[in-house]
Amino acid sequence: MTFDMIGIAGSALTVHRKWLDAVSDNLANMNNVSRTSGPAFQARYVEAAAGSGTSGVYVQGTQLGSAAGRIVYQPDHPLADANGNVKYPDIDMAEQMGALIIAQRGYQANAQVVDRARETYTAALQIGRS
Amino acid sequence: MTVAPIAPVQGVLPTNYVASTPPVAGTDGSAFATSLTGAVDNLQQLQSTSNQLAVSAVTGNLDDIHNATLAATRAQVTLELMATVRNKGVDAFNEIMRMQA
Amino acid sequence: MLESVTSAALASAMDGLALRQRTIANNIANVNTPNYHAKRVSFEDALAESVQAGDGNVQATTADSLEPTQLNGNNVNLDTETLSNIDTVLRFQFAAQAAGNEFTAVRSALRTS
Repeated sequence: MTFDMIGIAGSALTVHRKWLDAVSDNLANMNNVSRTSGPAFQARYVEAAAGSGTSGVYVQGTQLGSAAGRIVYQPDHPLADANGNVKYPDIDMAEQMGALIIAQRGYQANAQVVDRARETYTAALQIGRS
Repeated sequence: MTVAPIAPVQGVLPTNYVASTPPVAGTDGSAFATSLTGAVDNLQQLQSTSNQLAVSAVTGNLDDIHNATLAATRAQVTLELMATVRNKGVDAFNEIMRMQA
Repeated sequence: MLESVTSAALASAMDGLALRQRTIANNIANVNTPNYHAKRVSFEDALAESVQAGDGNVQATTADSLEPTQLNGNNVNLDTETLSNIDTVLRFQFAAQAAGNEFTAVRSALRTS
């Protein structure tokens, strides 16, 4: 592949962006309340796998967290059941923030790879230009 | 007072330190022609390699773009070199033709 | 003159450096992929030996990195890869310039004759 370093970094930018989307979605829905009779909001996890040879990385699939959620005693809530319980999603904010930082760092690192790839290809194209 | 007469000049003897030069063999120019055709073949090969790599690069099949630019520059410089050699050869030929006229 | 040992060595170096650059890009792309092991490219020692022997053509080789893995099986060290990336870019720029200078020298000779 010609100029394939840009494609490799591009595949990683896509994967990390999907990861960032999933994490921010999880954080936005952290406090969704549901009835104890139904499922809680399920956290989304992105599965990444390396491409064959040197073809970067791709998203192999998405996994959903548990739907069991956390039972919390809130009798004043309109969705509370007979015992006064409601269900919150089983999402740990610290874990999601940690994932956010890792995904962001990976995204920035791959954006820099694109810059350096362009410098290399420019040097290659300048050979013989006098 | 009597002055002795000057002795007559003897013939000049040839100096033998310069060896007689052998007759000059005419150069048939075949060595130059061979190297020139070899250079033309080399140039054609360089240009075909360069074209092949350029096509690979634009169809997306070339991993290292520097191979294409190196080959293109090599072919170009070899062509310029050959053109200069040809021009000098033609100039020399014209110079000689002018001398004979 | 255009087919000398130097010329072949510079071309081999550029091939090796480009492969190294591509490998680093792949390593950085997989910085967060579970069970991925970083790869390293080497060719400098082989090239030095080849130039001593009067040749100059070598193939670069790829090997797995032996760094310890994190909990998810990934052993990509982002700092090492970043520094190696910058180093490789500069070396490639130098090799490309050196290769270009050969042609510039021939062109100058043609112009003044």
